[in-house]
Amino acid sequence: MKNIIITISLCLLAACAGTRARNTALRPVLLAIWPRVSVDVERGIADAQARNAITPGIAADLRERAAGIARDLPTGVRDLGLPSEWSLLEPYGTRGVQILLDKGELTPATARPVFQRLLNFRDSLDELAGGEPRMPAGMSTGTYRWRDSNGRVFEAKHAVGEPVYEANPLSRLGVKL
Amino acid sequence: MKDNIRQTFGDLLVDALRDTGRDVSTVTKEVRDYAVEQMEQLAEAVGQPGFGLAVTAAADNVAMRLGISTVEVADRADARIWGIIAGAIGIGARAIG
Repeated sequence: MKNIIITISLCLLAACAGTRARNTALRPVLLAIWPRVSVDVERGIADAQARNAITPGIAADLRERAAGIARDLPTGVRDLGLPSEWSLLEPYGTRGVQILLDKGELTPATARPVFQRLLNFRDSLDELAGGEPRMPAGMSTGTYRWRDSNGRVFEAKHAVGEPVYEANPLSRLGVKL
Repeated sequence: MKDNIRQTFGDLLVDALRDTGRDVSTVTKEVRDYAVEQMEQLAEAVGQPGFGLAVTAAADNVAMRLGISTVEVADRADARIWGIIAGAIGIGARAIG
């Protein structure tokens, strides 16, 4: 009985240490980075809306989801839901960076860490959610690839080999990005 | 020569983080290698449009990797940490670029 209590106590201590580490180390980092990431997301949403690739209603919904991350990230009350919210926004972040690439404000070499930031942000949200990165249904694994305006293909290896979301999860709903 | 710069960069980064009063005892080899990798990628981009944006993004990437590895990189959003990482990465990239 005593051994069981000790074991349970150790498990609780380990769990608390993990939670504390996430709150003291990772959360402030993400809070500081979010404004820069959200700028890319908003650029992508605005572009998709301007091209009528999404309806104003979907754009409003996406912006509400982005606002939700900004609202809930500091408190930690909705950490478990943040990865799935981000999975809807990440393609627009990707598009937002692609726009800078197409405009020549970024080159393939300077765009690479900016694309990687989106991937790392996802990994970090997964970590905040308390576990190993998970692969939602319909997602694929592999290397992250993109094209510049000349059609050249570039790729960024995922930092630690976790799954990569498909280019546009909304495509399953008939939404083009 | 480049290997020396890589080694020196990794040492400088850890020392700089230590100077901020953070516990760097658990800065893993993985994170350190990742920082060097970010710097080397940037070396290909020195002088190109968006280099400043790329340095910021690279610093963000390293900070997230530090955060994931649960190093006490910041108990609040500390601009000094980003300044150190971004400065080191930017200078290192120019050095080997």
